[in-house]
Amino acid sequence: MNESLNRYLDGELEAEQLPPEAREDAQAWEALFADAREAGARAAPVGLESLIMQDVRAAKTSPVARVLEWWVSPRPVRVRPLIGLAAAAAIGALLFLPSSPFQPESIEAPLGATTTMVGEQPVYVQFVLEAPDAASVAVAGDFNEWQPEVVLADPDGDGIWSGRLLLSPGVHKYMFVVNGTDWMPDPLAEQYVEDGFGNRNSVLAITGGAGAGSLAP
Amino acid sequence: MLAGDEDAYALLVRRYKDALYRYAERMTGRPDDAADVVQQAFIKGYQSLDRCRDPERVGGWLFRIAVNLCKDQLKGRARREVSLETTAPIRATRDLPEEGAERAEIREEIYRALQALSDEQREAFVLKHVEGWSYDEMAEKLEVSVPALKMRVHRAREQLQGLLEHYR
Repeated sequence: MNESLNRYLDGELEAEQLPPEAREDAQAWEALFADAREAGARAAPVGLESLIMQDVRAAKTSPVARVLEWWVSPRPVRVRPLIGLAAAAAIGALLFLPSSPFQPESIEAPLGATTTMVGEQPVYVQFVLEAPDAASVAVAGDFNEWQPEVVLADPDGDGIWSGRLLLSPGVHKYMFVVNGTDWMPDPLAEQYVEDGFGNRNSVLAITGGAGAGSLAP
Repeated sequence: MLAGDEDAYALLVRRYKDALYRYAERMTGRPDDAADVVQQAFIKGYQSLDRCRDPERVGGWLFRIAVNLCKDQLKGRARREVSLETTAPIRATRDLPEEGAERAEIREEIYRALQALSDEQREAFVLKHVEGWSYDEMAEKLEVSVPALKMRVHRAREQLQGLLEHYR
């Protein structure tokens, strides 16, 4: 790379000090830097802040109290989504072995929205909506006080809008908000619940184990 | 702010979490790892607030914790295999499209190209050209000499030039 261009990019030369032949390259690099600043996530996932503050509160506890709590409290195990699913599959396989001593008489699979076994930790959930004519799509639910601030993205312009949120285990109700004003349920949700205003909310369940997080309205 | 002041700390978390997350995600290339780094950074920051020598610069201090945590995160991880084939050549930057799908795609390609750099090069490049730090700031916070950092940034730029066709 041209020495003067390197010095300019390092902040040692002003643009006017560049030879004319290097100026176009300098502009191209500035454009790349600007795009690099815009690349990747724009914000931390929703839910991370409350997770951090939970940890801060736990960290505030005195060491003695923490040791006592360690002995008397059930401790959530941090499980990442993929590892959690793999572990769930392994546990499931063990439970259903014909001779397994752990095999229950019957296990009723939860109905309705997508269910993920994740332990107690929040997990990423992917929201997807096909809306080719939309100018914007956001998701609002009980996890963000129904504020349509979580905006989905359609980077390739194919009308498929998607985005991920960090959600705590439990049953969540949500809706998509198209173009900032049109509230609509998720057409791919497996279960819906009346919202009391004549509309239906979509329902998503993230459970800590079979049977947890009832989907009943 | 006094150590242990939870409400004040919540404001700090709200103010700096996005910046820390953006950096951590660029460095680790994985949202889960980035979230881990940010969580750990804030916990570590909370537990050692009394060691923050300049309360006016608590944001930079938290950022530095995150930078070190990213390093730790990457140390134990095998070098990512990002083949050049997966990094499509970027369009001519002299003719960049306006905001839209194509521009977003270009940014995605740059993001992938960054992941193909070595950890040290990516760290230096991101701090210099994305976060806008000076070499002196970088040297102080990373405890690496300015010439060594310049070398890393230069090599990162050369690498990117090779990965992103139209910068050759």
